[in-house]
Amino acid sequence: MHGVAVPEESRIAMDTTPADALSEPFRDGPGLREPRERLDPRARTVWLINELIGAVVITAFALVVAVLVRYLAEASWWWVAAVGVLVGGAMLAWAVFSPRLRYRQWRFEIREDEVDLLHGIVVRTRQIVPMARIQHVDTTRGPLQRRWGLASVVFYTAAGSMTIPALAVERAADVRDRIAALAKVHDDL
Amino acid sequence: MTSEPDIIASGPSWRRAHPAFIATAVVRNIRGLLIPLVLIFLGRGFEGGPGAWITLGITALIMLIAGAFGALEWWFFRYALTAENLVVHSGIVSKQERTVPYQRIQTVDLEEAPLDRLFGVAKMRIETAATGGGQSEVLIQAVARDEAQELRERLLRARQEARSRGREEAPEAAMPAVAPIPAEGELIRALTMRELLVAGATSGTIGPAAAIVGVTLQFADDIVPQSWWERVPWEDVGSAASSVTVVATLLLIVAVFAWLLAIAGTVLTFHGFTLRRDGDHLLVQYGLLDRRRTTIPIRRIQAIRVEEGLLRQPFGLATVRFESAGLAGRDEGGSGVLFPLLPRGEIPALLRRACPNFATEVEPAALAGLPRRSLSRYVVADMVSTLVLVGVFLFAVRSWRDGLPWWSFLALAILPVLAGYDWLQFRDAGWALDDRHLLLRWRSAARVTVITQRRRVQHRGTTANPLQRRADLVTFHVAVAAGGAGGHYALRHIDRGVGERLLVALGRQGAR
Repeated sequence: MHGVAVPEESRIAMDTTPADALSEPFRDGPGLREPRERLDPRARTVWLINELIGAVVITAFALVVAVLVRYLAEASWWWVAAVGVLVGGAMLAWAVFSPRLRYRQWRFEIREDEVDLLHGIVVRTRQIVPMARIQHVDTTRGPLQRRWGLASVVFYTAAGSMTIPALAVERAADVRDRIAALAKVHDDL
Repeated sequence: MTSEPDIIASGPSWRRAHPAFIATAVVRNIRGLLIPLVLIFLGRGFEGGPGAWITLGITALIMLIAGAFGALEWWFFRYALTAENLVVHSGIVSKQERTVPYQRIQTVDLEEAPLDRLFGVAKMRIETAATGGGQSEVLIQAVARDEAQELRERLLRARQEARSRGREEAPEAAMPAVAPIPAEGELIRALTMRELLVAGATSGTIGPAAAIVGVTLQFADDIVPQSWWERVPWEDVGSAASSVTVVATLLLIVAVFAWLLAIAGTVLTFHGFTLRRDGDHLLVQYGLLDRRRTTIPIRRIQAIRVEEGLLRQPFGLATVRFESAGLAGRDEGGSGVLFPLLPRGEIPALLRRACPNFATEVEPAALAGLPRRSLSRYVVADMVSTLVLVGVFLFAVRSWRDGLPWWSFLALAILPVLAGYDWLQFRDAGWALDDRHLLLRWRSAARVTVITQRRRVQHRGTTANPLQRRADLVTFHVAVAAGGAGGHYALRHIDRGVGERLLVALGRQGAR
C-alpha cells in the first residue's frame, strides 16, 4: 500500500533450506530471530499515568476495606495506616518501574509473511501471526493515547485478536495499512 | 418486502408447521413463568380459600394467552420451497420474511426433544455461513418426522443442484453430474450396546453423579417422615458410626450408586450413536430421550481431539472429539463428540473415512517427549503450592482442636499422589510434526492428543515465566479457529530451542 519494501533478511532466518526444514525441521540452527522494532517512547508516559490511576484506585479500595476491618475488629488506626503505606507503596513502585521495563521488553516486527510480537516483564510472550490468517486490522485510541498522540494497532484472526500498543499515530496508520495490504490474500476456514 | 416471483409462477405451495408447534410454543412462552408459579403454589400450600382460586385463575389465564399466542404464531409461520430459495414468513404483529438461497445453506439439522417425540415431530434448523449472530438461521419448530426427513433431503439436493449450476457457469466447468444424495449417507461406525455400557462404566463422571446422590440423600432426609427416623435404634448406630467400616461402607454405597447413575446418564446421552458421512458432511446422531442430530461440514473441522480418560486409557479406549469453526449463529463453534468410545487402534481408520485431512497416526513413532529437566518444572510448583495448602490446613486444625490428631496428617498423603500425577504429565507430554499435521499431547486428568493440520494454525507462540527461563524451557501455544477457549492448545515446559524451531517450521507452508 505504501510500497514498504520488505528487506530479504527480515524474513525468518534459519540455516537450513526450506525443503530440508520441512522434512526435518529440527537440525541445529540459530532458531528464530527476535523482532526488532520498538514502541513509541511516549508509551512509558501513558502507561505511567495509567498505572498511577490504577494505583490510586486500588489503594483507596484497600483503605476502605482496612477501615471496615478496623470498625469490625476494633483495631487501631495504625493498622489502617500500615495497609495504606504497604499497598500504596507497592502500587507506586510498580507504577513507576513497570512502564520502563515493559517498554524495554516490547518488540515487534511486520514481516512480509507474518507479524512477530515479543513482550512481557514476568512472563515473556512470543506471538507469531501469519499474514494469511489476519482477517482485519484496526487502530484504536484511548483518551490518554489521544492526549499523547499515540494509537494502538489491533489485528484479528479467526482465533482471537492481538494488539501492538502505543505507536505514534502516523506510524500506527502505516503499520495498519501495511498489515492490511500484506494480509489481503487470506484463506477460508 | 421482497416479492417472490417464483411462488406466483409455480403457484404458492406454502406449508405450515405441524400443529405440535403450538404446544412447543406454549412451553417456550411460559417456561420463564414456570418457577414463579410453582413457588406461588408451594407458598400457598394450596389449602383452598379465595387466594388459591385467584392464583389458579391467573394461571389458567396465562395458559390461555400463551396458547392463543402459540396458535397465532403457528398460523402465521409459513414456509415454501421455491425454485431458488427457501422462503419463510413469520410474525404475528411484526412480519418477517426470510429468503435463504439453497446455495447458501450450510447444514440442515433435526432435533427431537422429549416433547417433540411425544408428538412425533422434529425441530428443523437450517444454517447458513453468515456470521451475524442468530440472524442467519431458520428454525422450524415442528415438522412431522417423515416430512422432516423428506424436507431435509429436498433442501440438501436443492443445495447441491444450485451449487453445481453455479459451477457450470464458471468457465472451468467439467464438474461431475449431481450425485443422488443417499438418505442417510454412508455409515462409518455405530456404537454397539456393549460399547455404550463400557462407555458409561468408564466415563469418569462419577464426581457430578456423586453430588447428585448426595443431594438426593439430603432431600430424602427432609421428606422421610419423622416417625421412621424415630424407629432407628440410634444408640447402636451412634456407636457403630464412629467405626471406620460403617463410614467406608456408606461411601462405597454412594460411589456405586453414583457409578450406576453415570452409566445411566451415558446410556441416555449416547444411545444409538451413529457416525455417517454424506459427501462433504458428517452426520452424528445420538440420544435416547433427547434425540440429537448434528451435521458437520468436514472442511470446517479445525482439529481432532482424542481423550483417553484415566479409566479408559488402561483398556486402550478413547473418546474422539472434533473442534470446528463456528457455524452461523453459534459463535462458540462446535466442539462435539465424533465418536464416544473407540479402541485407540481404530482411530486412524475412523479418521481416514470421516475426515481424511486429519488421518494420521495417533501413536506416532516420532512423538518427541520433553527434556528430563522439565520434570522438575511439572513437580516442584505443585509440591510447593500443595505443601503451603497442607500447612494452612494443619494450622487450621490445630487452632480448632488444640493439637494435631493423627488423621490430620493424612493430608500429607496427597503429596505422593500428586507427584505421581505430575510425573505422568511429564511422561505423556509431547509433540509430533509431519509435512501436513501437528500433533500435541498432554495430560489434564485424561491424556489428550490434539491433531490439527499445519495450515489450520491461526497463530502460534511461546511463553516463559522466570522459572522456565532459568531452565531454558518455554510453553508452546497454537490457536486454531475453533472459537472460545476450544481452539487454544498449550504444551508446557518444552525446550526453548525446540519451541523456537517449531515456531519457524510452522511458518513454512503453514502460512499456505
